[in-house]
Amino acid sequence: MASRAPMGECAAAQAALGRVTARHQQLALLLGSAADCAQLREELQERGKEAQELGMGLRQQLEAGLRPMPGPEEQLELERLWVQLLSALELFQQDLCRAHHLSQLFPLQGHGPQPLRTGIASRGGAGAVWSWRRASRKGGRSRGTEQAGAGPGLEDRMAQVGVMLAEMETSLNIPVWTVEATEAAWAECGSTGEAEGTGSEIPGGTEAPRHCCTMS
Amino acid sequence: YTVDPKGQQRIWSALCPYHPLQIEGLLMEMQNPDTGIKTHTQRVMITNIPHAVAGGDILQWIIQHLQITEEEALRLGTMVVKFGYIYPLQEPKNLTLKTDNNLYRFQVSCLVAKMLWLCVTPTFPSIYLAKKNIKRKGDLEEYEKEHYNLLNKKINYKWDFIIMQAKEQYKAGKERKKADRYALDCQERAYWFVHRTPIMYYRQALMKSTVKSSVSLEGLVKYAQQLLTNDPFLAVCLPSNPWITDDPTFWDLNAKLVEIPTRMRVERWAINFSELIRDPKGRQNFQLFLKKEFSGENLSFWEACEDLKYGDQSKVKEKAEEIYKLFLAPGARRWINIDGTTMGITVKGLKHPHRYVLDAAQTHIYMLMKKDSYGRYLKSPTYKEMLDKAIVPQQTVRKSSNFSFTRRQLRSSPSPVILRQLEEEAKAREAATAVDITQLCQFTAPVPHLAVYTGTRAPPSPSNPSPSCLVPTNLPLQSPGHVALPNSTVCPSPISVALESAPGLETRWETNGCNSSHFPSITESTEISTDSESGPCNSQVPGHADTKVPPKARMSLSFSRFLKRGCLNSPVFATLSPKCPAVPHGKVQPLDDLEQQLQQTSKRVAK
Repeated sequence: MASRAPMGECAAAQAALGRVTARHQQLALLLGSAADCAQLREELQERGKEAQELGMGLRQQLEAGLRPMPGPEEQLELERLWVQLLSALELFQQDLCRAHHLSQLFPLQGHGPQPLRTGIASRGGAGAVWSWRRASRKGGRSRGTEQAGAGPGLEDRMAQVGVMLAEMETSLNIPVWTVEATEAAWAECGSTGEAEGTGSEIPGGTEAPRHCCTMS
Repeated sequence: YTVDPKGQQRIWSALCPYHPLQIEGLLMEMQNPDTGIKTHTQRVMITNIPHAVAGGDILQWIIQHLQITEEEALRLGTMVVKFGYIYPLQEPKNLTLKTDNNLYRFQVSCLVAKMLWLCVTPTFPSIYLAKKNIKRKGDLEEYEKEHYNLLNKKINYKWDFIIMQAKEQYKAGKERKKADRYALDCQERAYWFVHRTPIMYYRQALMKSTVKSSVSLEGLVKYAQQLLTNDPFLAVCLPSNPWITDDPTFWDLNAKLVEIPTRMRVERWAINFSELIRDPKGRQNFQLFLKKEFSGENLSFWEACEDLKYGDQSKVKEKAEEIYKLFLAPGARRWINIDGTTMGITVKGLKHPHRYVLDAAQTHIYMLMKKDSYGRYLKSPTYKEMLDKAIVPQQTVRKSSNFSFTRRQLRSSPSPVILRQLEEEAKAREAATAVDITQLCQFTAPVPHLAVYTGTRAPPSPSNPSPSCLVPTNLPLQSPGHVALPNSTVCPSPISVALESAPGLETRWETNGCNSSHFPSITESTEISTDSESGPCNSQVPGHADTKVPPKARMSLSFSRFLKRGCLNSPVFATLSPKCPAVPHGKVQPLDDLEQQLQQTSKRVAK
């Protein structure tokens, strides 16, 4: 019988899931662009697999925690995490859907349309835009680079996550709307991941002054 | 601005062949490294970002590729920008195509099946706004701030997740190469600028009153408890449950506009106003009461609004006009009393009528009836009489002889399709008999034609008993359709007519087999909508009822039983559906036939 994981573990797993899904999304954004390549798709698969596994694990932990009724505080927290998990999986599934669609429209092999020219330059190798873990990659590049990376993997995963979501929604009787945000609105304004740097080097605001953009 | 038709054609044929998606095809062509638009590198400070195109080049390319005029190309180009397929780099909020060196870039999400993209749930814009908050420390546009607040309220339960995800995405983004990050950020920003949801949508969503789930659950429990006794499956069903005993008396007794309703049904009207108003019989009784108080127009107006909402939508404009003339216009014949503000809103809305244009007025009248008339109604003799008259059927025991283990086809409750048809036919017949037939085609007839029903018409020929069913003997006619239900006179249902006219049919009659179920509908329809009057307009004269009934005697027995039951609507179908649907192919039975049959059957049915 699965023992109740301590709360901290669940929260950590949730955070990890968030990281992986964010990475996955960023990768999916590049499909069809000039940066699209076999490695990218491979990386995408990896992240997808990781996210799915994290999701499954977290689901089991939370279910184990919630099934025998926990104390009220614990229950509140677990329910909160449950709702977060649901939201994360929903988002992940939508990303999978897009990724699948894009990878079908722009197959790496065969006669597909030209890659989209949306401002992403193609760069391979170590400086590849998609590799976040070049330093920490285990096992090197031993994976087959032949696979297109798209197709069945993504589609299956999409279906599996869909099934998981459906099961989760019916397994535990948690009304999602009862969960309230712990952070106030606008609280994130004070936070940055790391220091933003000295303002931004690139004017990313909507009022990008004209003189900054020139043709070359 | 004149359109070159050939040029238009070229645009469309150019868009179609490349790709199943049309505009996307053109954009793919634009992107073609060989034949597409020349690209430049955008230089932002010290960073180079590729794949920028100049506005002037876009224009020229369109002109050459599609062989259209500059004017058309400009229009097309601007459309392409407005829809977000291409976004401007230097003036991100200016969604036009500038024909100089202004730079643009292609939006990936628009090139690949937009519907799959980010706008699916409120989660996506929320994450975007939260990310922007992080980046710009809360410095958002006004409309973005509003959106943020609304989204925060709307999906508050997801908010922790949204913030977490925003932070992660922000972090992940920062780890990119600067140029890529910039390009992606611009693209995202452009996307959300084009797809900014009208704030009204969210405001309206939030304005809907929210109720605590515990409160609404309590309400549900209370509702279920209160109406438990009325449920034919969970409580005793009198006289018996047709689904079990195959005895349809229950359905007959609870028909939509049965002559005498059951006591349980009448008691139900006292539970709350909505129970009263959703029961056609309840409405009928309530209308009786209202007329005594000279406020019958309220309920009539309410019913007219229901018809507008749920009835034939192709006639919305006409219906709305008629309602206005009858109920709302200054000096209208059945003017309803609503406050100035509501009247103002309504009249304004009527310039562009649609099915919900009268909602405000209808709500006002509904609340008026509920808060004012309803209370008095429950204490009124009208209601009390109905309560006294109401029947309490004896519970019948299932006859064991009926019971068999073999799979028998149980009788079904009347088909709503058939019921509807019969109602409409009956209505058409009544409308035909009541109106001067030479005055057909009153589809656009304004109110004055309705005077025909006010009692100022020529008295019906004495040999025709049918109008006598319409005209009450003891109640005054105030205006059309204020016709009291004939309690004493029973008029034959159209079924009887059908049965009579078809050869070789059995015509068995039971005392409760005939009722005036259709007349109230007709009276309402006469006063509300000229649509039903249009029925006679498209008449196909001779007895349609005949054609409905199969000539085969073998089938006729069960069919006649079915038809007979069919004239009585099951309460299952009692909804708020309109009482006066338009009669698209109203058929009229010639008066002679009708009068003959009516004479015959009204002799039989005694009441």
